[in-house]
Amino acid sequence: MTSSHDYLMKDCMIAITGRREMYIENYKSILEFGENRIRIRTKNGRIEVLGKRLKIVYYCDTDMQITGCIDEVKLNEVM
Amino acid sequence: MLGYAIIRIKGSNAVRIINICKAQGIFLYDITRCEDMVIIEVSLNNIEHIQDICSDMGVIYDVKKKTGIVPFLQMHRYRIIILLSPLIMFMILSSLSSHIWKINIHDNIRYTDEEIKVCLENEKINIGIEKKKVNTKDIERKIREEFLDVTWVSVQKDGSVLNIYVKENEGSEIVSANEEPVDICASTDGIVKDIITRSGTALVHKGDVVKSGDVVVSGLIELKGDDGSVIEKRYVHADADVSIQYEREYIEKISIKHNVKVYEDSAIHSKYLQIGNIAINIQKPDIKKSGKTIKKWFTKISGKMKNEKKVQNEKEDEKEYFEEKLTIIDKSDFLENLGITNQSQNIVSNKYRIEIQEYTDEEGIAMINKNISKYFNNLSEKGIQIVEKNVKIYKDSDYIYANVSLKLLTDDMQEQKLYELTVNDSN
Repeated sequence: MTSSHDYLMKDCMIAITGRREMYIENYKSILEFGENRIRIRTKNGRIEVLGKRLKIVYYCDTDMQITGCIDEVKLNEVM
Repeated sequence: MLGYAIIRIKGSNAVRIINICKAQGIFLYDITRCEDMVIIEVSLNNIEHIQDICSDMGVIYDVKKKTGIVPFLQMHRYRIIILLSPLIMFMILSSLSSHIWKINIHDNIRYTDEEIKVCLENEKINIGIEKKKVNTKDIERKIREEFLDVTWVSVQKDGSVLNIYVKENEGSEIVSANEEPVDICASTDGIVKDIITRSGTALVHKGDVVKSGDVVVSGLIELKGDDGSVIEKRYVHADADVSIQYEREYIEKISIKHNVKVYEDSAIHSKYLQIGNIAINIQKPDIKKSGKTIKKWFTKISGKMKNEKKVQNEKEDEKEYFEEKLTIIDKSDFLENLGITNQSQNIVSNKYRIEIQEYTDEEGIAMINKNISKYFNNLSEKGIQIVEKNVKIYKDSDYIYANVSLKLLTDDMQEQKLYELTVNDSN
C-alpha cells in the first residue's frame, strides 16, 4: 500500500473499509482517545476520527487499525 | 503466544502512556475507552514496563485479567498432577501399547492352547513382553519344530495381541507313548459275551467261562512257519474290547422303625447378613431357646451351611432339639471379588423332637426302591450294564428286605505287564 514516494515523504496514508475499520500509516502519535473521537497527529497535520464505539485494534511504529462505527474523518492541516 | 494481560488505566494521562509505549516499542492491542478508563491488552513480556511507566506517571492502573498458558500454569501450580495427568496418561498408554497383553491361538484342534503357550514360554514369549522383542519368524519356526503335526503357522502382532494361526495335519494320529507289552486279564468271574481284538492274541472266545485274573488277550504274538513251529515271538500292548457277563446278588434291608423329626410351630425367622464366616443379625436378635430369650447378633456359619444345636429339655427323659437352617436370600458380588462372601440369609430357628415311627408297607417299599435305585446308579457310574434284574421284597417284624439278583455286563478289564514273561522267555 505504501509507495516509495509516500514512504520517503512520510505522508500519511488512510484506508477505510466501509464504516467498520480504518488503517492509518505514517502517524506520529495519538493526541486524544475517546469512545466517540480519536485524534491522531501525523507529519503534516492531524486526523480526527468521529464515530461510535471506536477502538484501536493494534498499533505499531508505522501504522494502526481503528474499528468501530466511523461517522466522519477530518484532516486538519497544521499551520 | 505465552499469554497477555488486560490492564485498566484511569485518568487523562492514558493517551500519553499509549504514546510512550509506542515510542519504547511496546505494542498494545484492543485499546478501548470505557468511561474514564482506557482498557488495553499487552503481552506478558511487557507488563512490567507498562507498570513502571504508570507508576512513574502516577497513573492509577490495575491488571484486570491474565490469560494464556503461563497464567494458567501459575494458577494451577498446586494441581500439578492434574496438569500432568494427560502427559502421564499418554506415557502410560504408549508404554502399555508397546507390550503384548494377550496371546490368541486359532484353529488348533490337536494341540491345546496350553501346550502351545508352554512352548512360547520356553522361548520367553510371555504376556507382558515388549513387542519389539517378539520375533514372529522365530516363533513360527519354533512351533513348527516343536509340534510335528503343525503343517503351517502364522504369527501376527495386532496391537497388543499376538495372534497365532496354526494348521494341523489332519491325516496322522498321535502315537500313544504307552506301548509297553501288556496282557488283558478278566476283572471278574463270568462268561465272555463279546471279544474284539485289535492287538495281541485272543486266548478266549465268546461263551467261554473265565475267572478273575485269567488272561483273555495276550500281548504275546507268535509267528508260526508252515510246519507250525514258532519262528518269532513279538510282544505288543494288547488292545481289545472284552465284555464279561456275571451274576451278583445282594440283600437290601431297612428298619421298619425309624426316627422322625416333629417340628413345633414356634419357628423364628430372622435375616442375617453373612460376611466371611460370620452371619450378622439385621432383623431380630432375639431367639427363644427352651423358653428363654437369648440375644443373638452373630452366628458362626458352619461349612455345611447348616447348624444344629442339641439342647437338653427340662422334661423327664424326652430330648428336645434345636435346629437352625440357613437359606441364602440374596447374594452380592460386590465383595466377592475381594474374597469376602457377602450375602443375606434367612435363618429359621426351629425346635423339634424326635419320635419313633413305623413305615407303612407303601412307604417301606418306596424307601427300599429308592435305595436299590441308588445302587443301580452306582453300578452305571462304574460303567457296568445291567442285563437282567430280579427284585423280591419281603418283611418280618423289624425289617423290610429286598433280595436283588442281577446279571451284569462289564467291559472293564485289567492290564498285566508282560515284563516277567519276556525275562523268562529270554532265559
